[in-house]
Amino acid sequence: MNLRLDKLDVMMGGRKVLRGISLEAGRGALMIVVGPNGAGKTTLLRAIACLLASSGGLDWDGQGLAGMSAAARAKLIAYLPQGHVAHWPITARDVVTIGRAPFATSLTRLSHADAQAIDAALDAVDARAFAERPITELSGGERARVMLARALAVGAPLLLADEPVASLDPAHQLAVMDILVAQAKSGRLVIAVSHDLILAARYADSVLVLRDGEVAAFGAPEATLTADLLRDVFNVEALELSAPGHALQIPWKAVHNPVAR
Amino acid sequence: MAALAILTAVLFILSLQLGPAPLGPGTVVRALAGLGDPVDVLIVQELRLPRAILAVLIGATLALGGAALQGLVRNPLAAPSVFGAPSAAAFGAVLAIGTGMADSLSFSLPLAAMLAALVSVGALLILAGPSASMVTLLLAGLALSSLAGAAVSLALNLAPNPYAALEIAFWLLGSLEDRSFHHVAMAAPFIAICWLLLLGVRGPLRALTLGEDVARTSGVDMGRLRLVTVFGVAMGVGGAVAVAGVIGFVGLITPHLVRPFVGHDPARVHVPAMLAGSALLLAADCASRLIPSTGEIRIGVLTALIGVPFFIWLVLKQRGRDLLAGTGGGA
Repeated sequence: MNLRLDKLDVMMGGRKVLRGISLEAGRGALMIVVGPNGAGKTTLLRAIACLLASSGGLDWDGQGLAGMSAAARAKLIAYLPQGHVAHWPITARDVVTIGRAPFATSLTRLSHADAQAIDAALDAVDARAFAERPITELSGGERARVMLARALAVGAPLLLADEPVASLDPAHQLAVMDILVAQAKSGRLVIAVSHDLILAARYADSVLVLRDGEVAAFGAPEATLTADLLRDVFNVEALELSAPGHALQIPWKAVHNPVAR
Repeated sequence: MAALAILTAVLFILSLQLGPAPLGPGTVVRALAGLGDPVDVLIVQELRLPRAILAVLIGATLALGGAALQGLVRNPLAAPSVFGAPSAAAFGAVLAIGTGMADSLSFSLPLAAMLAALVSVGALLILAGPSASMVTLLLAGLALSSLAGAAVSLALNLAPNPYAALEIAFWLLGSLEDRSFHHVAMAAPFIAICWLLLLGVRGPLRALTLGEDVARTSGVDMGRLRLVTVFGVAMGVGGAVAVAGVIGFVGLITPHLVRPFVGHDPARVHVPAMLAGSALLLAADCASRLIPSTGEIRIGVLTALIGVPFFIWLVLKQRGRDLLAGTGGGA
């Protein structure tokens, strides 16, 4: 197993927002992190990316991530934040070029490897057609794909994606999930945060369910996303839906709990 | 870029031609090489060359400061002058003159200006916080700018005699008149450090386009980037203000002018902006000598007259973009 978290704690504002997170995951898999709002999904991703200070074990191939230089970590971890912010109207290709920043030797000239990685990333998300257009003029779906391509261009063995399908239409959601699966199959460890339990059940190799900063369940989707868990963690009654190769638990009805926490 | 370089060179020669004794371009070039009428050589090399060199250096420095600051705060409305850094630097310089430090030690003048600019730019970034919105940033800038203005007014208010007050007032207007190589030597080290620092941190600004988290996970040390930028801008503004007074808005305008030609890439905007800054200040300096008036129009007044309408236009443009942006905020 390449990534190992051992009793990871994260303190924010004097409060433990993540408590005792322990898990192992290896390359070649897509892990989807789910949980109610405020469960600590984004916090976990940011802690793994070392954007937040954490205590406990956080290793990649036996090496502590926090102790690494930022430059070394940048080649190991690609982080795709939520929101798809772009402050300047640079072209989609220039956005993807930023993914090569950890390897940059020159400001203006790209190495052959850089150019190849950029083209491959643009192809992976099917963004060649609008590669020369300003990022600010792209539609939400195009923008999301370009931002993903930027993270892919890093070529890092660990890809962390925070809600990569949020605010995308169904076709784009499925397309992005396909890309993430393909990236996992090509030998990366992909960890994505999502609110979509159906996509998680369909696409993930493993699902990590967080509740109040703790692991509620971790394992294969069919073992974790059960009707009981949906009721306990998400406060929803599930409806079972049989799909080819899947028995999906779909959030169907909110549980009204008068003594809610 | 080549066109900008040629434009700067042409304006440089033009700047050497202008003055009480107008000279032809041929005469100027020959005089630069030390040939021709010794009087012309003296006029060009001793009187007009330092002025033109200062225009080039200061124009480039102010533009560089603007490009770096805009890249750091990711906002085209950022510039040292918008945030009152030159006013703060002027206050530092006035203080140095007032306390008599500037007479005993020539470098104390730019040093005092630099330190005041450092406090001003540093306070701005602390006030506004790491991921400031345009509104927060401009409000913080407004507060600091007003404070610097009040400090300068206080210095004027407390000036021991009308002559001192007049000297301060002229300082605030900004000018390159009657500058010598002594002034060039005084500003040059500060400007050199500014260029070295700010040109050295261009790469991180590109990654910063996608926000701080992307920059940090791309290996950018945000703390170091902020520190280097603040220090570099303060060095440049301090050096420039110490010899030329307050010349505003060059740093605001020039990055904007060249941005479309470099694909809005915040890492590639610096050098073209510097050339544009040199050209703009040379042109403004030439204009200040050509516009018929009772005395010379101060160059700082001229850049402000051009700059403020430009700033208003930028605000209007930004307003349109804010309406369109919608969900563009994010974390």
